[in-house]
Amino acid sequence: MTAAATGTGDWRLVVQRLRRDPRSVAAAAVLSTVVALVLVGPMLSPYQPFEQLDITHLVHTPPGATHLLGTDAYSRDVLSRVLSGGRVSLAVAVSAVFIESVIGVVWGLTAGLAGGRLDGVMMRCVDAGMSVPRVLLLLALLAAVSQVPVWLLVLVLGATGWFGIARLVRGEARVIRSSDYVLAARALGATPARVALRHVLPHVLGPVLVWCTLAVGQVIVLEAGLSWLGIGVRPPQASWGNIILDGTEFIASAPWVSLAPGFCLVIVVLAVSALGDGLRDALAPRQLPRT
Amino acid sequence: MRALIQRLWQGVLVVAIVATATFVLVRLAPGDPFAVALDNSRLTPELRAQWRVAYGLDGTIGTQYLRWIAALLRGDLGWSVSTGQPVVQAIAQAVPYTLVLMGAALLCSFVIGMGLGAWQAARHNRLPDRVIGVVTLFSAALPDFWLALVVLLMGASWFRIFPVGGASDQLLPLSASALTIVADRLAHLVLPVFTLVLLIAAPVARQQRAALLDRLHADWVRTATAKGVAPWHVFRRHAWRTALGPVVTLGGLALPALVGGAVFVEHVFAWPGMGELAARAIAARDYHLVVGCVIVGAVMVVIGSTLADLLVTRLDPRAATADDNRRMAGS
Amino acid sequence: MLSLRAAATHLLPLVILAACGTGTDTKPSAAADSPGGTVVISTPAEPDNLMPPITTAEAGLQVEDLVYQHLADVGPALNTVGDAGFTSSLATRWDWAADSLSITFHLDSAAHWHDGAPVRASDVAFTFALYTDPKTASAAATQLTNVDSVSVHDSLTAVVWYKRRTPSQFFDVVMQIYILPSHLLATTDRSTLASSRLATQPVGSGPFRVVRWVPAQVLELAADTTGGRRRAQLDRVAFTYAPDPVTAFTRVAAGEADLFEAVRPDKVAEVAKNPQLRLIVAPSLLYSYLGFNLLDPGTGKPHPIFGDRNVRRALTMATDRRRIVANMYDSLAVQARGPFTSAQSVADSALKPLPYNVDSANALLTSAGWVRGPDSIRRRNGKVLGFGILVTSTSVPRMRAAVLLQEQFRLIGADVKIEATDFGAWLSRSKARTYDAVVGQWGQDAGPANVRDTWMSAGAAKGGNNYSSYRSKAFDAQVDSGLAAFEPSVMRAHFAAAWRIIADDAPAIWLAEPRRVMAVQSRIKVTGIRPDAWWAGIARWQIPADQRIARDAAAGAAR
Repeated sequence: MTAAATGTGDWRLVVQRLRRDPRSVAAAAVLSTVVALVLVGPMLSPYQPFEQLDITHLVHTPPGATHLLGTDAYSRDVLSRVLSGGRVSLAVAVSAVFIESVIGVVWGLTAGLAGGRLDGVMMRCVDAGMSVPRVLLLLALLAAVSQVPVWLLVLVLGATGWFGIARLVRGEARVIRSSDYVLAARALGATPARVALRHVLPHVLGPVLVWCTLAVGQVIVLEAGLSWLGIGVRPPQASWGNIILDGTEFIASAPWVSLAPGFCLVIVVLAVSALGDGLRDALAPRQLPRT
Repeated sequence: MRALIQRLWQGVLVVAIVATATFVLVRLAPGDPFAVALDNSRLTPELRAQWRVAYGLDGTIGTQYLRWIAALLRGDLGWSVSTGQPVVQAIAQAVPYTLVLMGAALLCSFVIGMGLGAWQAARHNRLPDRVIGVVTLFSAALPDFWLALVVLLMGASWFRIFPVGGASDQLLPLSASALTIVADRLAHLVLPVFTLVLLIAAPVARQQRAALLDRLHADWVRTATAKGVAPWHVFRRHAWRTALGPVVTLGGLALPALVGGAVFVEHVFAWPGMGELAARAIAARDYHLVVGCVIVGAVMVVIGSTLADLLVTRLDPRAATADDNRRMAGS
Repeated sequence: MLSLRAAATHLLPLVILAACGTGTDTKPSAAADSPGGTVVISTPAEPDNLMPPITTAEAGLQVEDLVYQHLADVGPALNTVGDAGFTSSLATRWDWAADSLSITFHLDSAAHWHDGAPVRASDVAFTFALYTDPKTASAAATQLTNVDSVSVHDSLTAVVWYKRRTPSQFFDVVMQIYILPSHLLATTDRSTLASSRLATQPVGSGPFRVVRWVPAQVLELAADTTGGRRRAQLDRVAFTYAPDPVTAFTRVAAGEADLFEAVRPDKVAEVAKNPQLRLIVAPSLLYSYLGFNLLDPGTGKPHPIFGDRNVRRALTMATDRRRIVANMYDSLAVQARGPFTSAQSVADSALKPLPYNVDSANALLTSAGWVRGPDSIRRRNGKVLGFGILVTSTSVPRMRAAVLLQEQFRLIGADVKIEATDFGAWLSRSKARTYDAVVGQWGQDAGPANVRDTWMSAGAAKGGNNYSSYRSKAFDAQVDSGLAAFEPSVMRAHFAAAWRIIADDAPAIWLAEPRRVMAVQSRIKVTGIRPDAWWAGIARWQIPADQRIARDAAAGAAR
């Protein structure tokens, strides 16, 4: 094990390694383009995302010169909606995944390294948390707040999405904590937090990154999947998830509505995944140099 | 053995807490236990109050809870208003269907996922690895509701190869041979299982690949290789075994779905399983049925996490803590 | 999609004609067609029980209508005054007393329960007692308060005694109740009828008996062939359940099932292209609306926006209802004109809805004190013209209406938020009146009495079904007079006056009267579609012997 590159001073090294990895550079370029598009795009797009152009004659217009990605069931321009919906979706995905991975990693590391009774209690909490359907929590929340805003939805998604990560991290941590170098570090008087961050964290990063990559895509969809409860992005505001959801009904007659945001979603997931792989390699240089 | 018994007790406690929390949560949700029946302009508030009494849903939440506990001790989970039958019966009808669907789907997903992951790790950074990587990301990124509908329309409507949902052809004549019946059941399984495999196999493959790569480059594997141990032997004997950890944990995480089902897939494919039953119960505010479904799910979560822990310890003894080892020795 | 729209609009006049024609040209024509065949109905909605007094959902009524019998059935014109147009069912004939305070029903001597026991007048008396027992908690009981008692004259003759003479006294009695078997229910606890054996395995006297019910999968009925009465023309009817409407429709499109009752506009072209399928468009008794809450959800005082009649009228005129309805249903709905549907006998086809006129709407709002600010949103005394629209997310057309209305309101300077919820939360907020505006839909009985609960002062209190809390003495008086009129023309005149009052007061924006759009396999000869119950004529539907397919022959032998 070469020194895990997690100390603050080593970040420059990580960035340097990332820069030398063509795959990471490409992924970062794609992601920046997407982010730039959703930030600037709405200002350039020819129509307002909520504008109903002609509700009887321009419904479900196929892609063409005037509407590059066609129109939806309300005669709204799909391109304008995809551009404006990207902001919400990306923001929701990044923040929810960030919250769930932080809670999950901290919880899992603590339980796995502590072991014994604390481990038992913490993991039984995870079992209990996993058992309560998220929909029920959100419905109960509706009793207090009749309309759940997006930021609260992000909090709830993050706070209820970390159980799987915690279990994965805890499983890995249990394996690693009895490795020689962890035992050695402990014997040398390293504090538990230092052991966790410097010696164990780099090793559990693999499963966490895989999980997060997939979670980015799932959260974007989940945001829309909960819209039937009146939670999250409200009509007429667009999100990639709700454009896909609304378009699914017309998958046979107007496939372009759900395919356009679906394509964006997949692109983002692919880029995030490539970047995640690159990041992992950069953090754990003992892997093959070319990974 | 002592450890197992202790886990069992903890599990019972977890289920009890979850059941109580659900009991409260579902009553906090805005709505009425007779929501399905109430879209009718003739129903007066008095009638609703009467119905509440008839189904034991009157009084404070405390009295309802005590009443529910008393019934539970007799093995009665209450009456499901939305399905018009006892909760136990509704669940007993749905569980076998979900077991079949999810059993097939999880088995296929893990076998395919682990196989793909291992192949990717062995062909690391070569074409198969790259292609499978993109494909698995694709299928994992697709929204489940979208994917289920597309698979249904493609397989059953455009190409008309498979039946349009359901668990079997309900109108098969009595005279149908055993072979016809089995073929019919299998034909109904294909599309929903295919959809689920697309969704579940991807994370399995990715975790398997990541874990294997991680282990293959660990020092002790390198040492083994350096000592001249055959690469295949290293792979099988050292890397594969310990790299199963994350996959086993994923399996533990997926186990509840074996009985809990998959809501969107069951919904679209009209599969009469637990996922659809639970979703319908929540939508109808069928309090007793919701609690019943959540209890079944919680039991499976507990079993899943216990099994995963046991299995991981078996596969990689390092995972066992000192006190675990002592307990294992005692068992 | 242009091609789809063109196909739909060209096709519709034809299919509507076809639907109207089915009532006459496919009468049981010849003995050449022996009874037989199976109709598989694919539907997303499963009954919660099959116990008539406590059934309210349409999924249950569909099955009960085939299994049980009314004393008589309402005619296709849905007349509810006196007994004009009614056809015999369990009762073959009936006599009115001279003072109209009693009606003597003579039962069909061949009628029997599916277990073989004969139907007796004592069953009629028992059924009335069961429906009106407070322990039963039947929603139909409110319609039966005018019945004093039912006496048994002899085994086949029952006499219904009324407290008062009313125009709908015959309708109220014959259509509100299904006659139930006293010998199977006499000892059943009436407060837990839903868990009785008959709630899942009903024993009726109707044309079909229940063979089996596999929850979430299938409910199979077979023609009852044991008695001396004319049997159903079909051998069996099966309801197969698929919770997702797209799946339920696809079963019919793929030929696995025979009938789907709620085809969405975007599937019409697909049905038209399929040579196996026929589209049947029939009237229904549904209307949808955007209801304004006339009271402030917080204080219960008049609503700061919707308390003003001129504002409600302005908001109505700001909406292009014709095109909203066209977007929601293509040409498969007509614009609603009030809280009634065209198929009802009290409909007023001459009523003109408030016009779509954005200029008048703007002028009216400005004169009411709501003035546009620099952000083009209107304000009065610093308060924004903003409100929420409560809508059930699970209904595609209603959700569509909410988003379309929101945009049209935006254009006249209103800041509208859509509050989408699932059905349970929607219902509880509607009943508690904790909303500003609500997209709703009511299904009517054949008779006009529903309006009493939904738009009259009687239903205005919290928990009642007049969600808008609309109170108008003039409207109440006209409806009451209409309901008390014995002469159909007088009745219609009173209702016409009532509809004018409510249209002027604009407690709601009346949206659509969606039609019943069914996709049916063309081998099935459909007849007798009634606006309140498309299934009412199933016993007379036919499948010509030469067009039957495999599942038609398998009747009586299903697994």
